[in-house]
Amino acid sequence: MSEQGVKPRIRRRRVISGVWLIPLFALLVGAWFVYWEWANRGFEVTVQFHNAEGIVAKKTKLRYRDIDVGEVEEVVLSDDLQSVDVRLRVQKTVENILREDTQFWVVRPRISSGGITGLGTLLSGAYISLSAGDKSLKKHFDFVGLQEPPITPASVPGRRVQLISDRGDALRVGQPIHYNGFRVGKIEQVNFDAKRARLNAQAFIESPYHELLNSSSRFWRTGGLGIETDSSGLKIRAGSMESVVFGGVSFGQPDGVKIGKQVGDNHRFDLFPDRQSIDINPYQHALYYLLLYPGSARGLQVGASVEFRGTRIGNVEQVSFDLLSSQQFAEVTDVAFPVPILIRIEPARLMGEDTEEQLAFSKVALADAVRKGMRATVKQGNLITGDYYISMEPLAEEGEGELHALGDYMVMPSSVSGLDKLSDSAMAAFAKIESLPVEQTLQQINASLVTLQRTLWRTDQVMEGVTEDSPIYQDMQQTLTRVRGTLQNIDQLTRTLKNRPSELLFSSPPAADPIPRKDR
Amino acid sequence: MQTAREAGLQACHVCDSLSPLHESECPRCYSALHSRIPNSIQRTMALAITAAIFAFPAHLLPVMTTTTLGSSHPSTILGGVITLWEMGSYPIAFIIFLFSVVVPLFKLLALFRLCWAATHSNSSDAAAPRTLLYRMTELIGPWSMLDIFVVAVLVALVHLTGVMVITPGWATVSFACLVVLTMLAAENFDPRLIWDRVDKQ
Repeated sequence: MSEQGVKPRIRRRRVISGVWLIPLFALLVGAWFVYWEWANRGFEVTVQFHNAEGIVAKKTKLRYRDIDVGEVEEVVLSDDLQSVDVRLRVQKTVENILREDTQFWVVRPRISSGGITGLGTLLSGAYISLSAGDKSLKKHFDFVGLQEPPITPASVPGRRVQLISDRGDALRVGQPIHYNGFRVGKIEQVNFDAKRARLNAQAFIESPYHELLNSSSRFWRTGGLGIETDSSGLKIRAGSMESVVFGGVSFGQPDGVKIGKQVGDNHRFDLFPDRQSIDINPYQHALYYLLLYPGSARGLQVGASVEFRGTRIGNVEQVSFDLLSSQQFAEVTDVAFPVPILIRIEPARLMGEDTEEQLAFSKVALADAVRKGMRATVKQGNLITGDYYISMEPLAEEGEGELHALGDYMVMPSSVSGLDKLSDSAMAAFAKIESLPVEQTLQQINASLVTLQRTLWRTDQVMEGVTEDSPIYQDMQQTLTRVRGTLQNIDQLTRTLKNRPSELLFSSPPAADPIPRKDR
Repeated sequence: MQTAREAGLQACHVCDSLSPLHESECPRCYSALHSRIPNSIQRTMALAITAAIFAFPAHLLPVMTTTTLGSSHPSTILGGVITLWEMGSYPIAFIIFLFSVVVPLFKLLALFRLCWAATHSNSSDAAAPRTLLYRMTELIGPWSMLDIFVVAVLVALVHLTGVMVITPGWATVSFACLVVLTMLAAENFDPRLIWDRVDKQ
């Protein structure tokens, strides 16, 4: 190997080595990583809670469907010190579900009638959960957290309606709602409106059962045991086992009421204490009229029927002088001392649907009928029990009338009924009878009676002399015996004369001897 | 002192056989011959800088995430050291701090210092301590992998689904890269460059 034979391979050495690509690459990766983190760092959401029990900054997680989507960044008191502002750093992925109606609540262990929830948080600590909002609403980043977790997530399809009850009877969150005995939903929220002293409950009807709801649906309380005693014996009512134990609410269509329109969310329904109270009063839309009745309201019960030519169209709501203030009474001039009677007319009983429109239509029709002479009168329905009802009939003799407002009520003109008139004339007759000189007559009768008594006494004394041993009696006996003998003779004589009038002049021939007849 | 280069010789990187300077291939093992590691300073610097970049995620991101009954707690290296210190485990806290924080940092600083010295410093007195620095850097290289071992063992051992699960974080990868890169950087540094500069004077 000679040195000349070797040709040096000359490579130009680059000034900058290719090794610099490594830190460059690392830098790029790092920069991209930082950018990625920054871009997905999420955004801040503030949720206001009543208190911060179990919420720890940098530790408490925000979870959606049990997946971490954020973290509590800071927990501070609100400016007015009345609540706690929890600032959350939320991942960008869930930005879409943060809408105006998104709900936030703290998940803690909880025991309720709906079951035991949040047991996992016993050890892991509380976390904040959220429900997806309605996509059609605007995005929102400032929320007020719920005190209690919602029973059903907002994303579950169905219908939320309000139930209102005057009775405030213990309705609890989580109680079931039944339709014909099937469980179709539950009570989500129960609030007591102290101002109006009534219960507001939110009920959730799951899809597809929410289609059973319509504007003429009625809700009533079920559950527990109903025990009634009356003249027919003891009645015990009980629903399903579930409703007996947990109670609940049922809804359905009252008999004879047409199906109404579909209802939207937050439609208000009255909650009735039981099914019976709905059957008594199956209509929801009613007109109220005040009668200023000039006659007597005696025997008219609350709940008595209001009839139009014998067809029930409503009932008597109240008979009370409290319906009007003394000032309003002073306004009433055409009737002296009227009895205020509040009646409730349900137009749907007569025709049409149980809707607001129908109500408005009926209002006009009624006003028209009154104009043409229709009047309300109190009539006796049953002469024996003394049941009274209100009858609305066109009375030709009354002429035209007009509805007019008095206080909060519309006053329907009323008139005294035929029976009342009859009883009035009967009263007049009685008054005449009363004015007769009964006393004097009675005194005369009395005097006459005394005279009569005296006469009888005398007769008695006369008769006392006539006894079996007295000679008069003996004489009379003998006389009578003789008279009887004489009479017998006369009898014989007259009989003979009757048969043969010639007997007086000619003696009768002797009668032929009887000849026995042979047997046939 | 005469160096191999001054004597017209160069040693093979692989088999250490001496060849004349003009040879480009080792006559014994046919590997490429260089009198000095080519681009040594650039390579060392590049790798050290990459390692420095990796130091950030290694210490900022969670090294592992402990999930206990549904709640997860990410922990960083420094966070773990602080927790251990607060718990009173001073020796362990000290060891982890030493090998995870101090040693990699020391290595990086040492490499930068050596690279700077190999290009700028002319002091002959400093040459010997710098070589010592280099030897130390090379020696402690693999020891800073302690963290990775701890995480690997924990992840493998603690895997009680539902009760407690430990998952490694991104810092583990970054830290491993940091350590490997510092080792490669130290490998690529040619300590003879320190002396070349001193001798030139």
